[in-house]
Amino acid sequence: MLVTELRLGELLAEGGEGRVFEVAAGDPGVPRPGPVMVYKQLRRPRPRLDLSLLCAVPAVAAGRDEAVCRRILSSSAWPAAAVVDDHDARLALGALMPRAPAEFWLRHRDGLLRLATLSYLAGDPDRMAVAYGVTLPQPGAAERVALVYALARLLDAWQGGAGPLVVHGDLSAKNVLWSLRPAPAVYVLDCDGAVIGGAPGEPDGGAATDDLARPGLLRATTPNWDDPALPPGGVPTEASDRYVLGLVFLRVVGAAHFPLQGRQRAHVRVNVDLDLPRSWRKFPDMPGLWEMCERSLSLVNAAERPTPAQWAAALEDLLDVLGATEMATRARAAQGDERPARPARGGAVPGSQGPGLGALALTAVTVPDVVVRPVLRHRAVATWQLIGAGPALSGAAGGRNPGLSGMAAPTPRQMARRTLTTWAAAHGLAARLVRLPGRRLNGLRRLVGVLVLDVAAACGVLFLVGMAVSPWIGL
Amino acid sequence: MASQYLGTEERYAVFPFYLCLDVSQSMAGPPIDEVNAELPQLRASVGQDPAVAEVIRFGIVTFSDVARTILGLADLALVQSMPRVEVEGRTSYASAFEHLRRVIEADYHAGRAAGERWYRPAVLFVSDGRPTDPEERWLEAHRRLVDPAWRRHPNILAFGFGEAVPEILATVAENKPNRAYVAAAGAAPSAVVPELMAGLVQSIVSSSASAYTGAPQLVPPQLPNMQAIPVDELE
Repeated sequence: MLVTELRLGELLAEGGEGRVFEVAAGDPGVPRPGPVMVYKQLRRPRPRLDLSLLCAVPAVAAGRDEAVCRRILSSSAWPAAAVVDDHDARLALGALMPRAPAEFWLRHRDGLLRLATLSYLAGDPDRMAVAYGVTLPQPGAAERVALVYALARLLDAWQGGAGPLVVHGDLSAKNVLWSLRPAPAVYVLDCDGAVIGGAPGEPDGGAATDDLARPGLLRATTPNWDDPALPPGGVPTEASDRYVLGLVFLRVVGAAHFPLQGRQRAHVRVNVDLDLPRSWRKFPDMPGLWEMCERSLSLVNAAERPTPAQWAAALEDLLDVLGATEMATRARAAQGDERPARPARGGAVPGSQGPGLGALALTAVTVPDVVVRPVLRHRAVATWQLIGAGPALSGAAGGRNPGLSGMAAPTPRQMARRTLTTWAAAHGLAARLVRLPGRRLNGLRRLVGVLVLDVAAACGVLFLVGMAVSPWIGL
Repeated sequence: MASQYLGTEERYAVFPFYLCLDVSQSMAGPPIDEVNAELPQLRASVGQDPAVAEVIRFGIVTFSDVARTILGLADLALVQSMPRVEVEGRTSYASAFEHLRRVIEADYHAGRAAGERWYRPAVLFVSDGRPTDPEERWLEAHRRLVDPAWRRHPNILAFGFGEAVPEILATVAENKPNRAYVAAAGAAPSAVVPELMAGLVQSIVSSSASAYTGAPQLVPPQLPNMQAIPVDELE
């Protein structure tokens, strides 16, 4: 449709790629009945054909069964129509796409609704509660796993089974929305940059400038969510989406931003500590899960990254163990495709591409360049470290959780680092205990707090040593 | 194979931004009104985006005859409302630079005491006029602010409009390329200020995104001839 046929409403959002406007309800270009539409105005126009290829639903539906199509359309803002320039119909200025459904918006304390992006889940939930008044599940909660599961199933619908391969190429915390009510679900934005069939849409011959004819240059990437194996300007493949899926698992389940890409280089191994609640100790196949995570995030073995189907099967297992099977069931129902991803024990399952979690654990042979190590602990880290005499000490006594088969003992270097961290946390707590309003003499107060703690600790140790040796020296 | 450690104990460093705003008499009328209209928008854009707010700390220093902190360095997600800016007297650059040095030093130590790590702070210097204090005085104050021997010395982006002198702004920005911006002569402040504030927001948001990569940069607004400046982390 022509851009002059649109009647634009309120500006809803503005980002690096363009601006998103409401579209007036009576607009003749808006399909009805159907979802409420928005108009995404691109900062840089692109060849219409390139965008039009994406817009037609048959483009993603070809070769896929109805349930898989439902899964795609229920979970993504798939572009519905290209909007072209009045003077040059070969240039697309933007696209119409569905507005995110109501369940994917969060109401802040100020009463305004904002898109429920994964950014909320990739930060400290306690801070989010204080800052915005939103209540989020704690790190490691089954709800977080269920959201990653929903995303894995969407990617599986795009990239697994029959039909043309669909690669999003710019999955990030800002492009993936989430909802837990009425069921765990995700909704992916900015699908207008997707690559279908393994190659981007051919540019409209002759209409495009040189830049427009090179799709790699048009691609938006989000810092800290890009695939380090993809060269700058390169056209993303399914391996890029698989990398981000591993990253989403790490950041959403761990509720923290891990600045991973900045450290990933050839011949460098990155060791990642992932804090999790102690309820995870019940999971028997931890090594397989972490290995899957490591393979997803690998820089050197990008071609070996697990498929979304493998992730979905593994996460179904995990949800079972966490006692949240019904969450997986509800997530599937919300996507309109109730078939589970994993094979029934000993049987084949439609849509599943690979072995489940247990089998995967037996197949890895390469040395990983990313090592993910789960660290099970209570939520109040500093306090727990003080009471429990520090993780390094318990680690030295046979591992943090001796009963947990998946836990490896920390290396001496990690133990030393954690001991220092524990001691620093103890000092910080001591300093806070003597902190009074105002900033004057803060350094002196901190020094006093630290001295009190150190002297008390030294007295305690001396007392214990004295008690232990007193029988031997005749006292 | 070399090895790096990445634990959740490792907190992100925060990226402090100080808006250093000229509130001399020449800002009276539309410029100051526009600033007051735009500050809540800045709070909404930076503070209400969880990914941005987590890493950005923002403070406002105003200067005229004297400089004062009207918003202490804060997490904008936790700031309920932005202060209103009032017009005062003359344009003392020296007061601004001396005050900034004191504030940055104090905020840095307070942040360290609270367990924060800091990236090198950024000062967004906005003025619509030339300094009214003696040249040698404000130059000396500026020299102390950007003194490389002072480990907390900030990166400065300078923006001017109205009667601001490009050469002076370039000096404020240490004569480094792509750090000073002056509006076209005769441009109406009522048009310049909103554009400038929107640019500052975009600069802060883009800089926050780079901070998550572990290779932070101070990203200037999308204005002609500006490019990203590498920023190092304080020890």
